[in-house]
Amino acid sequence: MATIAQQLAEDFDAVIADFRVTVTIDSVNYYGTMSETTKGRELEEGGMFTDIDAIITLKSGDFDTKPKAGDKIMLADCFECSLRYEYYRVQSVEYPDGVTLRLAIIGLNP
Amino acid sequence: MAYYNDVDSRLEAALENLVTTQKAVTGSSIAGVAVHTGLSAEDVPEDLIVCFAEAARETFTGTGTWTISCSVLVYTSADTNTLATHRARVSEVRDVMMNDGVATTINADATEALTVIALQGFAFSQRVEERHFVGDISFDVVCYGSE
Repeated sequence: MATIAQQLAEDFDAVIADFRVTVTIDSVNYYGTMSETTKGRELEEGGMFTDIDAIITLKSGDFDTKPKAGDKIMLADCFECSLRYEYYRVQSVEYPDGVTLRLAIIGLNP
Repeated sequence: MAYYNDVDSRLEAALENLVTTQKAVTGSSIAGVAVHTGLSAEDVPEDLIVCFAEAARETFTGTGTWTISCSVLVYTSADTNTLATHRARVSEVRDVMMNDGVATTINADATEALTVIALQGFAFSQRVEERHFVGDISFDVVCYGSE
């Protein structure tokens, strides 16, 4: 009988199969999925701020060294085309269960 | 056509030119940092210097001489830079703005029709803002449109 962790992992694999994103961190690719994406452009003193927020969910077990707030990442592939090949900054890392980790990311202007 | 009292936008541009010129100095700590005016439609990168002419008031009524409250803001990403780098940048920009010859330099800027009488009332402040170190150099500029 599968453990809860195995079931969670299988469920997550099924999500990745349909809505996969490839995240590059320190030149290494990781596979996961993305949710809760918002895009905007805010005008403030100094110019236009890219305002992209998203949640990236990845397999915790894929990492020897877990990502941390402040890391710079790139979306090497994404089902949302407009977000591909763009850089993002990790705002926070959440560990909701024993299988996945969630990165809250914000967009970076070039 | 240039309008005589467009002093705040001219001053922002003149301050931007000052800082941009400084970037080209050998060994400058702000060499790789973008410089924008306060009102700008450009995309904002992580590290940025903003030259902002925030408010202007006519100093002596009817003379066309203005006192303009300005801020030069140095934003440095704490994720990609050390605090020492930020402090070096702020120090360099402070020295540019507080140089004895800065009024003469702005007046010699042929791209901005502006005559500066004085930069005065300098104040420094610092803070952190959304994972950035921020250095704020504020001062008043007494000036008038040149044409």
